[in-house]
Amino acid sequence: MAELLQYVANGFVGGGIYAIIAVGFVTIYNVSKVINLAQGEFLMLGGMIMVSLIGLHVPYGLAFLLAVTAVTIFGILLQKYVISYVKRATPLSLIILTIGVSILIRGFASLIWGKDAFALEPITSHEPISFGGITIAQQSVWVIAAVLVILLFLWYLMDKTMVGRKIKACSVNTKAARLMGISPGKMAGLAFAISAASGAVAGIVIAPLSVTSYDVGVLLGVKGFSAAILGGLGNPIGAVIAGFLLGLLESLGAGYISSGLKDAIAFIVLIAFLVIKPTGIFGERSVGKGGL
Amino acid sequence: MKKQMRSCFFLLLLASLVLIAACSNGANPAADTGSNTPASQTASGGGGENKEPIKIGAVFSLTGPNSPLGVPEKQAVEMLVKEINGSGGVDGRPLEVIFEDDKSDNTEAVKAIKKLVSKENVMAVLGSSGSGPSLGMADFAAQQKLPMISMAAADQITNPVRPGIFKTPHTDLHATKRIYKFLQEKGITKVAMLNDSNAYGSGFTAQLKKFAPEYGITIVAEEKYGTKDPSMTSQLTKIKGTDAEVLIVAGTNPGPATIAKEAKQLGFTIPIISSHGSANSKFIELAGEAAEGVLLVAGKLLVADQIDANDPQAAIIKKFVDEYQAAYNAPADGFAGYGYDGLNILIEGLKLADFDPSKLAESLEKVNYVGVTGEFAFSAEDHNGLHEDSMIMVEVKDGTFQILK
Repeated sequence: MAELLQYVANGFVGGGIYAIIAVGFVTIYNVSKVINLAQGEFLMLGGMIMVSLIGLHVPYGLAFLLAVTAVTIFGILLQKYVISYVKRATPLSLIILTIGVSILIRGFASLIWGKDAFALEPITSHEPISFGGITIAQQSVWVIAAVLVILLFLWYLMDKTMVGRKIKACSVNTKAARLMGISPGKMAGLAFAISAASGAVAGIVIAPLSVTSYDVGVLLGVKGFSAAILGGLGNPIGAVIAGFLLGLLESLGAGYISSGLKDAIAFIVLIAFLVIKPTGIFGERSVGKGGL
Repeated sequence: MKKQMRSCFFLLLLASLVLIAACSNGANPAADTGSNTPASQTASGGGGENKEPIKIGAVFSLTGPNSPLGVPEKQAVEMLVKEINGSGGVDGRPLEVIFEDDKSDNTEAVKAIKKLVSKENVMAVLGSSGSGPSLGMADFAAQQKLPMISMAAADQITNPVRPGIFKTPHTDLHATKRIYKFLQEKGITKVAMLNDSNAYGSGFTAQLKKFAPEYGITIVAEEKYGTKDPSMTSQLTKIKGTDAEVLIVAGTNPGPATIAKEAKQLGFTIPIISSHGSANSKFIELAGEAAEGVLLVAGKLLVADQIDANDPQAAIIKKFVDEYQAAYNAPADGFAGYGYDGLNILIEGLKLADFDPSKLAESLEKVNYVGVTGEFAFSAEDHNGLHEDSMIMVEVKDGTFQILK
């Protein structure tokens, strides 16, 4: 029983990260119909910039803010000077473009930071916390907290503010939104900014759990993308649920079936699910709009 | 106008992609220029200019992912060549080592050794740094009956034994036996293992399983992880639920460092023993506080300053570490040691063969040489020549490796 709880706790931490990445995918997709496969690189950049700043003896909190700001600006520039330039391209070439961008970012990162892994100090101490038979790192609590804060913030932004309504308007009907005086370009920039910022936060909070390096974004990006698809591309709540589900599946699969098949189990379930219900868990709303 | 700008932008993007691709493959564009001389460098000089030099080839991974191995190997060999030629060369003839870069690539390594044979007519070859390139080279060298000493880990290089093919590093077999001996001394019998699923980790897994009965060890959990996995908590949770008394981890960093961290996060109480693949300063740097108390199996060079003065290897280790420090202002690591031992063994073999290249392969089997990696005792059946007792157990204490007596 204690083991089961421990697997669930582990899965929850991993799943939370997938959820943030998945929401990042969905946010950008909804506004601009772009599937940004460079999403994982936002996490990598967040973690690596943070490592560099800490190396320069910048205080933790300030380094955190600087790293998130830097990645956010990077996300905006990416949208403004790369993605929007090729707006009339087909969705397929846009996807390939974002793959290219992610390879480019990784290439530069490996030139700047080298190919070694780096460690980052946790926010609070290294001592683990035990309760009810399960043990987790203090940093895992921070990860969960960050996930919840980000998700709550996004929910509030999207559902309760004017900006959120504008973003939604763009995702429902770009032309009508433009007629109402909303600039879809600006909203797309905002979507990129939100995804980049949340990605950077996620990248920073998970770095102390293990290590971070120039290529951590690849696997995380793929997992997050799977969660976004599983949740029904376009539905943020679906993405969050799918993210947590993927994390739990991985953890339980590795624990009870085979650790060598850890990734395989999660993806087999994903494929099986999509074969049965191609639109994902909550996918009625918007699949097909982006031409996928 | 806009269209023009757009196509300009695409060109720019394309150009930068190509650039990145080129960089990630070669790392050092200078090494690619010209196929004739610039890629090969020679280290010689001093002593006996009138006589024909003894030519030896060396293929190391100077660029690419294996460059952290190949560069110190080359530096150690260069240093030794300078020293030998400074004291009159070998048999009154200067020693000339011709270096080639295999770019951490199997095909390039085979190309390099072919070039060394056909163009430079070398009498023996050192290298390469990685197991893949070394295995490729060994096939060619065995065909050509060219003596070769590899600096790579894989057991398959010298198992089965082929005439003329030798290697200097310890294998997973030695590390396995050393760990099991240590466990026997401590009276520990129940072992869990969590190994990388790559060639290194699965080779280690096979040895651990093979020798467990011989040392009275029961393996209660056998788990794997992927080299790029960000988290191994599930595997560790499973191991925590068993009655294992120790956890053995075989992989190269950052995997073992991550495991040390996560084991601490999960409140592990059993000790962790990590393999020689992770025994370097990077492990402590990455695992930080969680590295404290972790045990590792390693070569003596890791704790050069703590080697007992009565140890047969003490003198050569001290000499090597001091000279390397003086020459490159960097601490000598195990890889530098493999290169240093390789050339020394080759020269011992040459001496035994009376400097007759045709007898070299045979005489190398008779070499007994105390090196920095261990005490080599080659024979017709053993082309690695090492014994598990030349490995040591260390513990991480206050951020440094401390030898366990």
